[in-house]
Amino acid sequence: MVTINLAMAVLIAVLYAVGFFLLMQRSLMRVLIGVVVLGHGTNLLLQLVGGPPGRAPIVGSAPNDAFADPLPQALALTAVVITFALTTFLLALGYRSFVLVGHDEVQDDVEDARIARQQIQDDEP
Amino acid sequence: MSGLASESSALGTLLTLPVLLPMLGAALTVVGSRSAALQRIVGIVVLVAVAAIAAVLLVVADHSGPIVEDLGGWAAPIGIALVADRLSALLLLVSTLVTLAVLVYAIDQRITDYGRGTASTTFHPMYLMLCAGVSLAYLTGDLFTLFVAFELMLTASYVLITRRTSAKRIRAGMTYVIVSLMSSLLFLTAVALVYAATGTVNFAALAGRMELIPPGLRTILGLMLLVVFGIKAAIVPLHFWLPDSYPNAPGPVAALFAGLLTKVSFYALLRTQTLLFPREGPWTLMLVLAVLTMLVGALGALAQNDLNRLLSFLLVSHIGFMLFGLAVFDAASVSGAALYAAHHITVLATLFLVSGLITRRTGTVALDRMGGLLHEAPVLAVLFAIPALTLAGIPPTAGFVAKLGLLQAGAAAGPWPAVVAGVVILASLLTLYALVRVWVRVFWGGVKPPIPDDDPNDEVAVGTARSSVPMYAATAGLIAASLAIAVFAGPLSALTGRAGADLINREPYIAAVLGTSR
Amino acid sequence: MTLLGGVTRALFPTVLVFSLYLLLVGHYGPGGGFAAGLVAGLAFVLRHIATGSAALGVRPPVVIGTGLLVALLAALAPVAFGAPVLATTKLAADLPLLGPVSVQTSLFLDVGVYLLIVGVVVDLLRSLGAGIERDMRDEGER
Repeated sequence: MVTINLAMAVLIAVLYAVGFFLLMQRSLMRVLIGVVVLGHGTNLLLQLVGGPPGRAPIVGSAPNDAFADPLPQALALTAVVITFALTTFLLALGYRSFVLVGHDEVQDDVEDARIARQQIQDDEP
Repeated sequence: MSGLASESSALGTLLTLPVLLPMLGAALTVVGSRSAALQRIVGIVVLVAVAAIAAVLLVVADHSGPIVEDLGGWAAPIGIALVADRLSALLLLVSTLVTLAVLVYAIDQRITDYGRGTASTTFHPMYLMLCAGVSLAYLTGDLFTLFVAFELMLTASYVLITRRTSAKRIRAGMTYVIVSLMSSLLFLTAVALVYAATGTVNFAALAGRMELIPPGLRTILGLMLLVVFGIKAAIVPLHFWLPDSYPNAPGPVAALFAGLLTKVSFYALLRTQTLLFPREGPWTLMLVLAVLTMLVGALGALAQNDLNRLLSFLLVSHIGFMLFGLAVFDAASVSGAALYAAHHITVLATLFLVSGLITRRTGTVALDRMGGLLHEAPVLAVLFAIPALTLAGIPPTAGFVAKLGLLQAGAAAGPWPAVVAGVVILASLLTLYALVRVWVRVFWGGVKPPIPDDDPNDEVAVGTARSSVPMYAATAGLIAASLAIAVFAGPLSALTGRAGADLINREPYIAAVLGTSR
Repeated sequence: MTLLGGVTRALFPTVLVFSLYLLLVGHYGPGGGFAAGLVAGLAFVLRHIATGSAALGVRPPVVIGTGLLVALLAALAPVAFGAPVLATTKLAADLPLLGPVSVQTSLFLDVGVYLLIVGVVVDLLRSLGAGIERDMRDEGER
């Protein structure tokens, strides 16, 4: 019977919660940190699903059932590289927004803004 | 070669080229980023080659079953397998033809606006990287490589939508990037959970193991993947980001996104749901989502005054048509959805290119500030009318042919699917109404003077009558492709019919992927 | 600043050599093209902080493109020997000074990745770092 490591499960839950909370923020820098935190959470999840830790999976170096599952590690590595690329991109985007607009906040949808204006006009007698 | 390296076939190597060639092209265009001519030639040559390869793959896959190549000689389910069956080869061919036409348009627009000598460090490499990602998404045989393909495609699209952007457009780029990022992280989580539940990420192996896990768990995994691809494919209520971001992209980029990105996501949805979560009879949840998507999209389009936003809402609406094909879940309806996807890729890209041409002339996307273009630019009127009628599905266009298959499959599947088929017709009428409104406002009425470009420094040059023959030729080429779908409707629907039967039957795909390891 | 400058002078080549070590042992030990590229990139970051310039001698996009090109050619090369794309094998040779040496052909792919990552980091320093430098200069003048 394979049981799950409770500490890891709680840690991943916290990382996901913090990550999604930050993703909902206005400032792109907080969004960026949210993406990084979420990325860590997902990578830990990938490690967790690989089963218990074991020896390096090189054929012949240990009995077969002592190996760690190599696939989640490969997946996590790839995910790390992708998160790295996206982090650099978000940094560049935030900086560009700062240069162009003077801040790095994500602004309202034009349609939302239009509807909000409409609402104010309707409310005024 | 020693060890695990097995014999490779020429066909298998050919299967990797739609991914590797655009990447090679991207590398060359980065190294040669000082030479605009080199970039153009590499881009066009690569895409022509990929289109030719896709045609060969389609013919072979149709003739002798799915083609499989195990990368590095590591057989599935351990290694990464690339698979081309009828559906993926067909969509790859159509997508590549569209990217080729859009590239010709984009190159010519750059030449017209900035002169022959302007090279760009980012545009061509990112364009080709996006093509590599699209090819990989169609050809991959496992869930994790699908994630990598989406990231490749989306990262390139982030750069394309935000490059040389103005203060006004950076907001739209941010919304797009953040929403896509969130869905990507959900995707990765879903991949991890699928692996935890089954111990594999290979589609063919998953198809067998999904049946062994508890039904509740299977439903959760299926719904997670539905949400992930639902965000990327703009299924209502997860569509809100699309009409906000696409209209703000430069013309050719918007055409590329509208043509490809949502359809690649729909392909992923179709592949995963049919292969991993087979079901008997119609899928009620998907029927509801299809109705919502069709109606919200079409009604949203009627409320718009911005040409590009209107087209974006129509794009969302017609995603619903494909969802209807998936919801009915039999061979005929799935094949109808595949044909509709092929048609949708060409027609949406065309309409966004035409919208780019209109905007260049009028200097605005606001419909109430345009008028009288019928006399000013009759060619433009023809270029708009044909894809507009195709999208609305007026006989004898490709849209009608594609929709007919869907309607027949829906009507035969029972009372509820028949009702939804009625909604399909309603949404088509609403589409027609929205497009007729565009026609009346843009092409009829008094001529209004073009509005000067308020931001000459950004990527979009507007308010100019300057445009050149290749831009029109690329648009006309796409229209010709769309007409070809109508002309060759017989053989094409026979082909998608076989593709749909394969999707529901699953056996040929699974046997082809796992059979190679024996 | 002079202390940092001096330390950087000593550390910069050391870190680069260490990154090459990581690149070479990557097949059997911890390391590989990506990790090695990031370590080398950090050397450039250090130099950028110390001296304000991360000049590479060539334009970063050229390094990125070359890296990608090397990686792709390494992926396609096995086809010439009748093996599938991305197949790897062990090459062994008896070199005059080093004695018997064997390398996995995946090393060539890793070299491509290494170059790509170094290029990306330096390009990032150039595009983000340069602007921040300029802002700091403007700040100082005021």
